[in-house]
Amino acid sequence: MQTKAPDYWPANIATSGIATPSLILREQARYLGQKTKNVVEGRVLPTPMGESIVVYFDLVVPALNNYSFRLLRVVHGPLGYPADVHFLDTETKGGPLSGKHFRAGNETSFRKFLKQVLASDETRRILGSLITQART
Amino acid sequence: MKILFWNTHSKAPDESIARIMKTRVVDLAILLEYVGHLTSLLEMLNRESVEFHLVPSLVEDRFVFLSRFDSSFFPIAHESPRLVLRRLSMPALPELLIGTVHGPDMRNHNSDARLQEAFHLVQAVREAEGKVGHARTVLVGDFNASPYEPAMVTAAAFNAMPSRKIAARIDRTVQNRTYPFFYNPMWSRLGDDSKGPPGTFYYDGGDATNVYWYMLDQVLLRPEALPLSTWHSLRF
Repeated sequence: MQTKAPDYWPANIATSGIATPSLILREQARYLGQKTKNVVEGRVLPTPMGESIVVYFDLVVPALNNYSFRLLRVVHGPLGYPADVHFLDTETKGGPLSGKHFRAGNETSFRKFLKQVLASDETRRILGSLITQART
Repeated sequence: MKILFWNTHSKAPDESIARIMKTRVVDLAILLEYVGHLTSLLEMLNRESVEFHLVPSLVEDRFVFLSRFDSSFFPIAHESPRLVLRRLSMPALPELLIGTVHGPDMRNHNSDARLQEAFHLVQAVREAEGKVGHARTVLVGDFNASPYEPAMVTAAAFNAMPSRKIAARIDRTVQNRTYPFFYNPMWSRLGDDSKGPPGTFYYDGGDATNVYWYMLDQVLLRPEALPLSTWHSLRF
């Protein structure tokens, strides 16, 4: 007769309740779609990389054959924070925030940096240009 | 899921598209030969509340998809000049394979040419069904062939039957080869007993054989998709 193996896991495994970078970026993607009438959409792509999770935030223009531009790259571990945020880590240069890296120790500091970069002149310029191109 | 299909014939009836999509609460619109400005149409659709996404094809721009759901729900399973197949994955529902077809036009292609193209289109559908692992397939489109023409009823072509009972047999065997059925509800809409017009396209060509009203825009369903569909609510 077999005896049941002991279970060492806790009885209540609940979600952490932390707003992870993916969750926050998805919220912002929804707001972007609402503001641009879905002419420019935000796409959030969490991708496992070793023991890290890399979350890409792309601006996508469906009317331009789904052209996409990577605005943010966030790298974090299983807990969500700390998170390394890379803004405009691409060929686009010129503004004071271009290529800026930031380490967010918690949700609050991540939101603070995100607010700063989404409202930045660089982001506005890119969004404006994409909308213009989609309309022409 | 309510689907609108419209071959706009090189026009851009944006106001009408928007009105139908709003009043009929359309979930997915498939436009064919639309020549308007997609961004203008999208902005018009989303003027009051942001509900629709443009879901572009990767290669073919003759088909336009506008949906209440973003492109992550509609990955492409097949794309060629006359056929786009997308997997429709909705939460808590069995996946469907939604396809749209544009058959070769009747003026420039005789019945044989259209039948030959139908063989290739159906082959692509069957290959896609094999890849996705199911045959819950719904095709909508401008087939440029009436329901009774060889392209629509030949076993190796669309094999689209007017009877659900026949289609429910799943397939039939001809010369030791097996061909899966489609059900074609458009048969029941032919002529004056239709709830709408007697066909989807009026053409007075002056040929010896002419029925004036042609049913070129059709919906075909695999038997596996029948339990998931309310084809009887079809309107045109």
